[in-house]
Amino acid sequence: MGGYCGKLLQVDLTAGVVENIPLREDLVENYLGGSGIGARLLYELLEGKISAMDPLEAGNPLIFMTGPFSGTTLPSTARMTVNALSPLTGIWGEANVGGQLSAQLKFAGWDGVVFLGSSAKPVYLHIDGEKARLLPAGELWGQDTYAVTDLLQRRHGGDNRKPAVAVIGPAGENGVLYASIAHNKGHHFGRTGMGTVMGSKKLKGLVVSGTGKVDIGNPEGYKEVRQRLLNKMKESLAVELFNLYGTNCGIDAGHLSGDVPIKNWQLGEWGEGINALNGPAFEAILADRATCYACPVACKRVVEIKEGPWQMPAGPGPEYETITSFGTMCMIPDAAAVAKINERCNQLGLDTISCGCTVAFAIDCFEKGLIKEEQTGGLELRWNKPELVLKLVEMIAAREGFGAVLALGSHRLAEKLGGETKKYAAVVKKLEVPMHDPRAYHGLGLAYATSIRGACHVSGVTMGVEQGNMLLEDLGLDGCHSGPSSTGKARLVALTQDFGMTFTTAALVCLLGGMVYNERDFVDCLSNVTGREWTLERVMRCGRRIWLLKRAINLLRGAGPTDDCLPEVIRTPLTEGGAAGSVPDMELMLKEFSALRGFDRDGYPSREEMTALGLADVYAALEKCRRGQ
Amino acid sequence: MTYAYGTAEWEKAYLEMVEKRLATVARPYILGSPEWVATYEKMIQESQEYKEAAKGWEGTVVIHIMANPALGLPEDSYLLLDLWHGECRSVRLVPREVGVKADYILSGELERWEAVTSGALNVTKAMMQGKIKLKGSLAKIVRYVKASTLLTEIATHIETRHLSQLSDEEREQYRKELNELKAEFGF
Ligand code: SF4
Repeated sequence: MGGYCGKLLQVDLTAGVVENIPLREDLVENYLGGSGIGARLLYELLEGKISAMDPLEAGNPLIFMTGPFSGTTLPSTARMTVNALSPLTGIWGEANVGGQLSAQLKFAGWDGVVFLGSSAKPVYLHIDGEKARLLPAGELWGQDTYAVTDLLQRRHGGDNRKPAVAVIGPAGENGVLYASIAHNKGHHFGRTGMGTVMGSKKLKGLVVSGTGKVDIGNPEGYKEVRQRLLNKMKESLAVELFNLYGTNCGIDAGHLSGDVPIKNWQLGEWGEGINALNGPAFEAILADRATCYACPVACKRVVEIKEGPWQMPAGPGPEYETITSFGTMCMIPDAAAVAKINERCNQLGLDTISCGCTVAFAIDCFEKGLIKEEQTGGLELRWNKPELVLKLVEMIAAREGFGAVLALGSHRLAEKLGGETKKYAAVVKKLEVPMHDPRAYHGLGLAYATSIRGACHVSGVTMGVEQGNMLLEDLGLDGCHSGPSSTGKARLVALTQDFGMTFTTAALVCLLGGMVYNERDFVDCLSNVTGREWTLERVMRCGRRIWLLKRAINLLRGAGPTDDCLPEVIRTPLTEGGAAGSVPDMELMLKEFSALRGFDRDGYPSREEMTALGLADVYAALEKCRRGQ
Repeated sequence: MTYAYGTAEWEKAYLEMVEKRLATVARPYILGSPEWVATYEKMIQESQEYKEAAKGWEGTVVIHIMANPALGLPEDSYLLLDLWHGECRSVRLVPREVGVKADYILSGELERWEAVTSGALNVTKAMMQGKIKLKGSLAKIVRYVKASTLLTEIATHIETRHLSQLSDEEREQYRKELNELKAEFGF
């Protein structure tokens, strides 16, 4: 079968048994790959137990999945996903990563790895082609991700081969609720605490190398569509920009339109800060550019700081999300300081979005006098204090002092602090909102509110389409959308969610380079790689099926329509900047969205639709849950 | 009489031609016509915000409008913006051979520029979508993103008539005028 190896590794950590299981045909047909298949597998593995499962219990499966394009040379398809119930949000958890891991896993002959149970002692999984075994990781436990990556690559690599490594750091071992999984140091499965789940299983990491290749269903057609995409990339200004300044390339334009959050979402303009954190500002410490497997974009940065207080050897540089979550959100106008904070987060294994936002939220509360030094363990939390932020990052990873409270994320922090603090916690479904402001792009506000894993800017393609960087003209989305307007956005969001579920989360096309793909390119890629017939209609149906399945998992976990909302701090208009005075009309958009999705009064999907999409069993479980059974 | 671009005669005759047209041509002006270009120049020069945002900018920018004979634009148009440290020294219609040598060239079809100047299409988005192509150092443009945005935003404030809005008769007349201007000024 083109695009797939046809098998998964199933690792029972409790029993220490590694098994080869076939990748079922129905999963491929209906859920394509990535977190589409991941969601179905999780649902089946937890059937009847989803509602009560504690995400940190051994029973929570941890599923790493590739997609059909992983390991091919289609541009910008190097992503991989990891899925489990999230300890941070309590609902469906999902994070994805670029780099080499997905290609290596396919070359080793596997479409994914499913971890069950929990090990009594620290272990790591070594996959070398068809051979896979669990090895002791006692001496690795407690070490940071950079040290462990170097060690494992030395141990299992050879002269000409460097295995792909994915490991957790101290944050994941210590149960920080937003721990990440670091792949080859700089690429992170960041969101929803997947590193925390891994830590709870005493699983330190995976080491993967393979020498095989991915079968292509229709090689001639594949060659044609690949070349078409490469030509588009050569012509694309967006691609040129990503190469030039990395994911941070849009910060200046974003600042103008009001897209960049500043001072915990409460300042609309900060020219001097942006000038100190934009692409040119990082050039002073730029040592090199790097890329993911077979991606011509090369949007990754390598930075090196030789002088001053933030010295660091050449290593992965911060992405836009990190530059803003620590830079603009904590009011630190210093590229080198942010690069250093990023390095420590990488080493300790922390999601920089959740971490930066939680720290910014705490500083905001302190500055407003809502919390006092007695609550912070004597720390004076102030804006523009990079040394303090670095210290907090260490304390969070170690769960030490006030760091132990920050390690719970913004939602729980607000619950603990009480009073008015909740107003300033920017979370949706307990997940910190990523670094794009819905007051500048109202559709994004609806996308955040209705996103499955909590506020998310990548699982649908709403952001790219609404900002005009991605055109889906066959779906009637021509890129001419007014950002600060709520009119017509429910339709845009529903369409981009369905398309995005297939495109970014199941096929795992990278959202960045993927902006050059249109619907026809994507359909052609699917048909030619798999050798099966795909149409746009099938893409949308598949996306809708995956979206509804994940939504049902959330409903079973108790997250319903009342959780589809934006936090107060983001519903408050700014007084300056590109989005001044603008607030998404959530009531209107949610009403329209609910009608488009065919939800009933309680926000449940209809029996007819679920049945037509092959989700009758899931609908039955939802009904049972509704009746309180 | 034909004037050579770059000479004092060309400049003098160009300014006289513009002055005459400004006094005689009825508003709103046609996008890319000499009177439209002169209005654009004046508005950039009067923009304090642009002056601030473009401090330090060096380099000529050309707005290249691709020909659309059916709509009445028989040949490509090049609007040269001579910009220097926040000052807009001039905006001129220039011959092709001059336009293609500018430091930065923004090229697009007539319909795209009509959409940009009517505010229906954001120029940054248009560039990202490949609807308008940029030639020149991207690194530098990115540093002056506010100034670049303002340049196109100013154009949206000009009361503009689009070629697509003209009657056949008006279009024919405009085409004739363009031919005469080409004979005289080389654009
Ligand atoms: S666009 Fe950037 S993040 Fe995406 S696959 Fe390419 S190099 Fe990796």
